[in-house]
Amino acid sequence: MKVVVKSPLRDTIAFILTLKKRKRLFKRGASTLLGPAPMNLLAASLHPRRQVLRVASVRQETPSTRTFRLEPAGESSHVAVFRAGQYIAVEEVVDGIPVSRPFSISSTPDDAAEGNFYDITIKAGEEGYFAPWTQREWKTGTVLTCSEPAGTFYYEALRDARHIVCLAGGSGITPFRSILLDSLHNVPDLRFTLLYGATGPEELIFGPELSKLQQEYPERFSMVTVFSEDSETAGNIGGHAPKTGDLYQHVESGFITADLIRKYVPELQPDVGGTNAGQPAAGHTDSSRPGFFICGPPGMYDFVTRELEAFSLTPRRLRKENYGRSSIDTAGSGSDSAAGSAVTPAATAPAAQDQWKITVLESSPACSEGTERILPADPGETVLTALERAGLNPPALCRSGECGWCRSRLVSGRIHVPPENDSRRKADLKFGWFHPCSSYPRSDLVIEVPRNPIKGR
Amino acid sequence: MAEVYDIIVLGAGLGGLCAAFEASKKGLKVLLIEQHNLPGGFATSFVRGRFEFEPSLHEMPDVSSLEEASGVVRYLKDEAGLDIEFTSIPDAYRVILTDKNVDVRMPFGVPALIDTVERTVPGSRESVTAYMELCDEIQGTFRYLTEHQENLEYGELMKEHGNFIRTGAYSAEEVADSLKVPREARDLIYPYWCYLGVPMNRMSFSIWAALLNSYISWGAVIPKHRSHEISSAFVQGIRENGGEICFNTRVERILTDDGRITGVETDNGRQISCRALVSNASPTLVFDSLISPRTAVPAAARRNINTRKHGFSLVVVYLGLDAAPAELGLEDYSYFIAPHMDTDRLYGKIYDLKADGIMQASVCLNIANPDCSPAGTTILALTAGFRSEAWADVTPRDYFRVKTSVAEKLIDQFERATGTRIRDHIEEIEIATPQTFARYTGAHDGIVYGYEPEPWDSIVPRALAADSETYFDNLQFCGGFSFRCHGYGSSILSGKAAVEKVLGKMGMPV
Repeated sequence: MKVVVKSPLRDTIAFILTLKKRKRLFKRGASTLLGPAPMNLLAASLHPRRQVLRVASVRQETPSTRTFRLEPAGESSHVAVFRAGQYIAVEEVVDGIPVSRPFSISSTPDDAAEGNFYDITIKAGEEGYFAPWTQREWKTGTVLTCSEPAGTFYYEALRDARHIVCLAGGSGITPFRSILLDSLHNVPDLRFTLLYGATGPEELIFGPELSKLQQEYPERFSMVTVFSEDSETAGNIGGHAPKTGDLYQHVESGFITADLIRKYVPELQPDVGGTNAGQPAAGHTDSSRPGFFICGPPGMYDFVTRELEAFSLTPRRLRKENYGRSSIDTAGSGSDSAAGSAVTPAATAPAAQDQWKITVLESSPACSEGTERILPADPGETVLTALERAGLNPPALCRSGECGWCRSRLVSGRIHVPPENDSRRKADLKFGWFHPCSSYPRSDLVIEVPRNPIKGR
Repeated sequence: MAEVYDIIVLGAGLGGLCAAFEASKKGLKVLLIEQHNLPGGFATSFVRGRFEFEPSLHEMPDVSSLEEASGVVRYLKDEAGLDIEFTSIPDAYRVILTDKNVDVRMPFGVPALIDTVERTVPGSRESVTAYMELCDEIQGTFRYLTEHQENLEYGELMKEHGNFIRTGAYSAEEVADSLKVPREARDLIYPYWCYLGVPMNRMSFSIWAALLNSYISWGAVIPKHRSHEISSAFVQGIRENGGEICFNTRVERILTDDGRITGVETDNGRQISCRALVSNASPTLVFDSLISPRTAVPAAARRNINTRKHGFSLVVVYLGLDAAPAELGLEDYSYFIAPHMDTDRLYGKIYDLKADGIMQASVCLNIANPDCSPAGTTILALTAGFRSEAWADVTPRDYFRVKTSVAEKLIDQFERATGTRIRDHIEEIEIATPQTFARYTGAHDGIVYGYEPEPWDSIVPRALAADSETYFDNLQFCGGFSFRCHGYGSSILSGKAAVEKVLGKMGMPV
């Protein structure tokens, strides 16, 4: 078959001329600079590799909780816009050791865009040694190196229900403040029920503000405070700022139980007693049902997760903020379970037979900081914690196995990864890569860790 | 520690990975530098909840010969010997043209394809048969060129490969016109145009012919564990060969001296010396912002990157659904959905974030890879081309709202065209835009494809002009912006070609 497009001669000449055409076009081309392209600039604005922020002010929220207002400093001119519910990781040198911790942003995206600040709210007592450190050391003017906003604990209109039940415990209220303010102001058709557990009224972070929000949006936002301490002040809340006795609409005592949830979320009533005859199969029932967002300390997760079993929620209707929680290893041996991120840099060494040795190889002299290192590791603490304690400053963001930022190579040895914190890629399992932040040593390890780019030079 | 690397490879996209693999296999001292903490560039994966998503690959042609220019799967398995498990795609694609009442499942295999087109467009058999024969012949010429690149006989090329020469200057549309392929038949054959991203009246026929023939003649495969399996296998190979890799490290400047590349400077302030540089970063990035000093860039190099048309980027909606494909009514792996198949008009739509009248190329991963997500769930990815310019005026603050609105349009279009209801089952969703691709790959303006392969900027002119357009003797490019044009196969194999070329130029043993 001989194919001719125009004529054999013209076709052949045209082929030869394509190169001439190319040369002609290039000759006429501009030799000006293109400069940074819009999408690269947008990416740099939304996802700066690091943000240098300065503590602009400190607010005492409760006796144990402070809010730090962070504004751009040094190389950063603006704080990156984020999605309500996301966190930033703060890199700090604590007692001479560089460590990183994720904190939910308690202020709103509007605050970031219009006011150019983030608030992070930290409660001492839940975060091991780091939170007390912030309360001692962070003052107006303190400069912090932070990550870009990260995390997937945010409301997504294409996925989530129009009625969200927020279960918050203690400082777990911080992402909800951002989500509630943002959504109530900006997303008209959303409704929220907040069940907020605290030890007592004086530890209710953002209490008065949330109460005011409830008065502002009575049809869309309902708040239930749940005090765990046997408190006679329930119903007669003193707290920090409130002066009126009936500041809170619904006050309960004890814990956030299935019964309590049922009481305040009537849509869930039909599910009492498990499955319902006549209902469509699972996966089709939950379009009109509320979704649950959970954030709180580890004990609360375990408790609430058990209580929620009564409602047979599908995974799409249950979202948890897990950041920083992988250190609580419920799947580990009993002696392991109490350890974790609560271990201080100067933690007491465990019994010798419980210690493993981690050899950290240099990936390339061209980019790594030094030479091979050998460090001890406690089976009850994550590999990441061991690396940090040895002063290696590894990359870390979420500390719960989710974000993958600490991804490293496991050259040899055995690790344990709690299933709920295991987000390793299939090919990473196949080729031996792991997430130090959610992995516990179960033998001596040889690993290779990439450099931490947030610290820069 | 003033070590000099034989070759520094800038960027661990597929081309860079292959280049570092091939160079290290030759025993050279190799350093691969990647700004991200993962290898692969677009060839990666990400996990959300119970799902691990495939970011970019739809499928790779399973060409059974190493000698074929598009025989990339053979290269990976047999020549490179990488540990990658592939799984086959059942059918080529299902094309749904909503304004034209077209809904046809297109099979792999040339005779089956011709039969399917004839059934839908009676009377098309003769012209479509001729068209497919021509495409096969064009691919044969590419094989000939691959085999004879060192000792090309122009006389023989003219004599034996006349159809390649005579169609070489024309667009895919012009050649279809000359063979009188009916418009309705083209509607069924053209959907792969979006893999090259140029409308058919501007697309080089030769590259189109090779692409169409590769898929239809040979069928297609995907790696079992997403593209990250390909990238990870390369990384393992590079390590075994003794190559070094720095992740999380950005090259800020390419250092030059007297018209030669001497090394790179990284974001942690280190200067690393090399004898040669293979760049997976595009000529646009290298000549516009990386070469230092700026005055070292010849004006001709700037004219080159300013003249060529940069390809388009994508929006991808990644969905983890909490029902099985059968429950959702999803039976096909690959869906091409558009109101019509007038590629020039479809291309016109990719400048507009209203996202009306666009084409989407969507994949239900479970159909080819049932174990890719837990039982009773589905991974579905909806992809549409967008020019990055369309996003240029989106502010950081509006960004999330805008991308959600575009995603909603794609979901609507998919549901209406397929008659399925996926909205009630979204357990996980991520939306990638040109910004996302700029963020993770560092690509200029978040562009997913390379320069548009019009006839004057397709593989053959790029290859023929390669020497006159080499602006630094010890610098070669690989990846989607290099001479093979874009796509997984081209990007990978360009890495090997770049290493051979740069060694040849430097008088080092190839």
